[in-house]
Amino acid sequence: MRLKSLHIAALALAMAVLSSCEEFQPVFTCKYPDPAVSRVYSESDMTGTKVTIAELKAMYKGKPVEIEDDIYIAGKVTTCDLKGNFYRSFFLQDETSGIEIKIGKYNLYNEYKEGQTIFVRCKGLTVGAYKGMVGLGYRVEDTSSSYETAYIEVQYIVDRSIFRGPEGEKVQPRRLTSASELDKSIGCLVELSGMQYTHHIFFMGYVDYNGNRKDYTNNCYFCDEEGTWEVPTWAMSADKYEEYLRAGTFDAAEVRGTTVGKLFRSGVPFSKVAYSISQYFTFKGKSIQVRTSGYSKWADKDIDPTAGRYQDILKGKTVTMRGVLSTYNGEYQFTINDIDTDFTID
Amino acid sequence: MKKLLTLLAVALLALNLQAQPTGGIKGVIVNRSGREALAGADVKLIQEGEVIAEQTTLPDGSFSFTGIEDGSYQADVSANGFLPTTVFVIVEKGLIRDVMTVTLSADSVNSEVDDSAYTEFDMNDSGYSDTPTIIAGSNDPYASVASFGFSSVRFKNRGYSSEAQEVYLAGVKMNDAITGYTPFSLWSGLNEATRAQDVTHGTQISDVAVGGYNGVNNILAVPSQVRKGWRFSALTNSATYRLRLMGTYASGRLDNGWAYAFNVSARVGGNDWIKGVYYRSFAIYAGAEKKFDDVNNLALVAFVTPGERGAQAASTQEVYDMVGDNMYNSNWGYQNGRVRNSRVRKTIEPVFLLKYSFTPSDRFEGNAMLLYRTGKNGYTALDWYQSADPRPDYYRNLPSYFKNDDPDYGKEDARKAAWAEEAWRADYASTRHLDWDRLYNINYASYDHAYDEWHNPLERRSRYVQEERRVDQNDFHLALNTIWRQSSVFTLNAGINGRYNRSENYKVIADLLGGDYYVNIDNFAERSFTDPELLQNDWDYYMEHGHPQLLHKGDKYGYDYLAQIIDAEAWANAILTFGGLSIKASAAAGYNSLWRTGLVRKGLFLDNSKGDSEKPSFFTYRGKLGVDYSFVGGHTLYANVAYVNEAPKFNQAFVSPRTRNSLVPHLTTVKTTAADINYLFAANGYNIRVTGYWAQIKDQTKVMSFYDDSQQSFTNFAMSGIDERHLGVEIGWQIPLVVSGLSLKGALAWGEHIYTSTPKMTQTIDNSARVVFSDEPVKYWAQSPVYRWIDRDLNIVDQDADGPIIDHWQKHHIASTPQLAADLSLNYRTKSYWFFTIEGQYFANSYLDMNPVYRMEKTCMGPDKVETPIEVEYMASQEKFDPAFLLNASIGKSWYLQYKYNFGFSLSVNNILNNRNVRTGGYEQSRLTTSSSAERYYKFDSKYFYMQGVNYMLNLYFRF
Repeated sequence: MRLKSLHIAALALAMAVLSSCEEFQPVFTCKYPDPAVSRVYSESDMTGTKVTIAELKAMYKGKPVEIEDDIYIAGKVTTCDLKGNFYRSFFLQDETSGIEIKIGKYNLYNEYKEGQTIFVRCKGLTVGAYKGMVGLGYRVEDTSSSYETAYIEVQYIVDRSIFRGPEGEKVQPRRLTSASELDKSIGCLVELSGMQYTHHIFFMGYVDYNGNRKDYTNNCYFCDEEGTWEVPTWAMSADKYEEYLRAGTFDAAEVRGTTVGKLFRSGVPFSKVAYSISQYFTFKGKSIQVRTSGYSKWADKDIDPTAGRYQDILKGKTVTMRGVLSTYNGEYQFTINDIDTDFTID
Repeated sequence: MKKLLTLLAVALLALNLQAQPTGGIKGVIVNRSGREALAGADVKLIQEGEVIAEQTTLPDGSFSFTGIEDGSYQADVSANGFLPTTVFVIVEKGLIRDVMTVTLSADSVNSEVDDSAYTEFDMNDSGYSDTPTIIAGSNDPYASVASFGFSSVRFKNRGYSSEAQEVYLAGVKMNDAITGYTPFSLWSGLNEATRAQDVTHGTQISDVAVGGYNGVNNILAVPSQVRKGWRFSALTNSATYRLRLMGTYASGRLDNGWAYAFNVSARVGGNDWIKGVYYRSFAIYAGAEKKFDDVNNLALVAFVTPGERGAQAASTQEVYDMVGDNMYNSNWGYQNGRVRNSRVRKTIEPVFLLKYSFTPSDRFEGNAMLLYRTGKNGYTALDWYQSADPRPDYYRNLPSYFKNDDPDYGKEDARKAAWAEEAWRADYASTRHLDWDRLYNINYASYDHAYDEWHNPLERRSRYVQEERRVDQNDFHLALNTIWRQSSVFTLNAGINGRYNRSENYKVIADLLGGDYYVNIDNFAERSFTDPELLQNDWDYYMEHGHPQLLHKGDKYGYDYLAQIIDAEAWANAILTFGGLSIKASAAAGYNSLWRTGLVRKGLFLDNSKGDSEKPSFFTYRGKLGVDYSFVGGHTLYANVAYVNEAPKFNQAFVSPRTRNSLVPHLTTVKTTAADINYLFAANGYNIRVTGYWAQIKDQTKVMSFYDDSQQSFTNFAMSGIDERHLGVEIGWQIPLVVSGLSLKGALAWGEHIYTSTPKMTQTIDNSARVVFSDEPVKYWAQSPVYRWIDRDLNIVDQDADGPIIDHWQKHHIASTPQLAADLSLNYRTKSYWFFTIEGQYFANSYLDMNPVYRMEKTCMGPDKVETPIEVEYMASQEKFDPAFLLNASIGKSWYLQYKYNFGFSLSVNNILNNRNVRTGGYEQSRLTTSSSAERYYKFDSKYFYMQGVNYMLNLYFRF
């Protein structure tokens, strides 16, 4: 019988030893070692043929093209979504041109830093345009869509297409001096000096966010005209926008047979979700729509709180802006990363 | 019961022995729980170590020895399923000595409580709780089966929530002050020290309380009640943790009046089924007790179970199907190749108990208890700032986000769906798991210049951190209880209890995950507001320093408030016994108050976040009536009725306790009326109980907070006026078969536990406290219509002049427990201490927890504000789980050496058929998507928990 008890003790010991395998690791290792720095890709890691961004954009001939060849582009990131004015995509620029990469993820600034080199394997992705602006994204399944590319979105495709290289110095914006240079710089980071405010505003919104977005009589309202707006900010949060709407500032727009101011004062709830507002400047005589998001961190912030300087802009004082130039049906649009660094009064 | 020693009257010694002894000893043996008479108990009369007489108690529990000489005797009382006890009696002057009632405590049949019942189910802030109710094993034929046998499916006894089960420690009510949940985890791992328990079922009263409607479980916990001797065990199992080692020593009552006990254990390791779920838990119990004389006894006990447990998350069926495993757990990922769980429960909550017992006569016993619970209870989770949701099964990572065959979903990208699915199936780049390496790498490169003025600009601002949500309790109890046995007819049992609980709720930075600091601002508020003052979690700090606090490991952040609770109750049970008949009447009255004390001022709620909230108080009361009748031949019939008026719990009293002092509207007491009738038969090895029960619970409240897509905001929901009705039968049996040692055991529980009211809901925006709607009925909470369809495929509903014809109404049930549970086992015990068991189990009528938002008319209507039968059936019906059949078996053997050493093993294998499709619970998500037609909403998929497949437990033990 003593032998038996010995057996049992031995068995217990064996059990303890045998089971000290993988599942004991989280048990006995309290402090996990910090993971290694993730791999930094370089040109030598890339297979296939390198093309320039200009060459890639030139593949677009009026119809979306799904890339079948094993080609890749390399460039530096010029945009940052940290301040919220860019959203779900970033721009990549090489010596030849710049292009929007419609990655479809949020908080890209975490992994795609301004100035960081990025390699994009284009095979399986689609070059397409929206209102004339060529970008790189994914094939659109919905043929009725006015977009020719969709967001890439799927992490698997992102992981197999987009490779992060070393971080580096930020791209220096191209300093444009004449309007004729604009077209060559579409998609690129540019600096435009001498921009003049034109008292021209664009805004649109929906009475019912969940309603029919194409019902321009009862649901969707918009305005795209000059006036005396007295709006001292280029980006507006939903609350601020609602305040202006209710105050009648934007009564140039009508919906449901009345002005938007009257409508929202009458008790119709304001939908905070989907609205858009931007203002126009001119650069060397060309009109440029400066796009601003209400989600940007500088929404509602006075353009320049210094007494009188905002008034200076209204009165014609020019400004310098740095941002990405884009096009919309032949018109120029301009998107800045951060108002604190990309906007100065001349 | 050792303390019954003090029942003895010590008096003068008899000087003269009479030639013809006329002295005697008589008494009644009762079950401590419920005070039913125990028929068939064995009473041995011992003098100077020799058994001089032996009797078996009569159906009314009585025994009587006559014709014995004056002198001192020892009566050893034992009964199957009860802990034995000894009574010392002195017979003098030739009189018949009446020891009156001798109470026996039930022996826990299953000392191996299934620890899987404590598995941390991560309800992901869904608003649902998942605290198990653990039916204490006892000699009750139903409970002895249900306690262990039903725990694998997380059975809720009679459909009641955890709060309904009253758990006492040495007469002190231990249910959590904030939530009311059962506190078993405070002493889990101390199986031996907490083995001696007095258990009552249903609406029965207890020695230590009036009790509620789901039983009272009093763990005796004092050292003299821990079984004497040394005990060691080693246990391995594949369902929860790999290894448990336990050692116990108890001195028993020593001659000098002292008693000591120690119990220590360690539970460590993962399991075969759910990766990331692990234990690293230790437990220590120490107690000392001194009996100073026949009157005074003092016990001091302290225990703590420090440790951590990895939690399991629920996922959608889509995810389980892609992974090919219903036990998939999204909470963990590899860090440097090692499994790391993001959600870990970490506790160190010591409990100190001082118990003084006073027994001036054998008719009166008084106990005074002081109990203090303190320490910390943390639960880790990931927190992130302006970064992607790191959870692998986040809905945007799933194929269903890209493609749904119904074009109305507007998700038509089959190619993207295929790529997403491929990534899941192939586990490409660890798609299935948390990517710790990625989180660290994001933090490594996170140079943020917003606060450069206040720190070294080379420090990196973590975008992902692991937070630890803490609920650190300070729980003070004072309890007094007395038993006065006025005569063999009348017993009065009364007491008072007081509790003050002060719990600090806050969170700390547990791990900066490779970064250097984090910032104490409200991430949610930042999405809506730009004014920095509004973003502050600690506005006072911001105003003083000009910037929010930069946080390092261990710093408090987010929220910080005290939950403060005062509970007081006075109670009494009166028991009248006339032979086999006993009548019990009980009453209690109480006072409860609760309030929140904010310790930080939040930017969003400057006036309503810091300092004391209102202090609602409640007068509560309860009453019970019961009657027992024991017939000849081991038959007992008993019935009870109860009315319980209880205060609401703190966790259901505040709209958003993390941010502000606002109370839930219509805060009121919860009123329960309950009744049961029971038949018990115990004789000749038969042990059968049949019970029918009914209960109605009224005026419960529930609060939840989650993101509401229709408001595009994080919102708070407060639902009041929730009523439930529970009714059913439970049957337990233990039947000896013809072959000696062979018996048939089983239990059957059938119930219908449903919601019966239309509660009212108030929704507020968390950021602004703006009321979205107030007191709107949750129209389809208690039931939802099932329409009469002409052709289901064509979606044509039968109509008449009043509109669509409703075929019937579907009742909505209490969720996450089978409402039909059955167990049948064949047991064989040999004389050489082998035992074999084979057991079949069937579980059915289990339902999914309902999200009330889906039961509101506006949600059913959709954006077009038109409610259609398709929408109502889709949105409001309650999901019923498939029934399940399980097969289990166990084997064991004990050896005795030299009449002193006992060692043995038991091995059980559960779910032998390896059924991996048994849903044990889950919850509905709260989010909605709008259809492309903008006519209706679609729900996000529900999330489920499953039971583990085949698993074993091997226990080796050694006792002496």
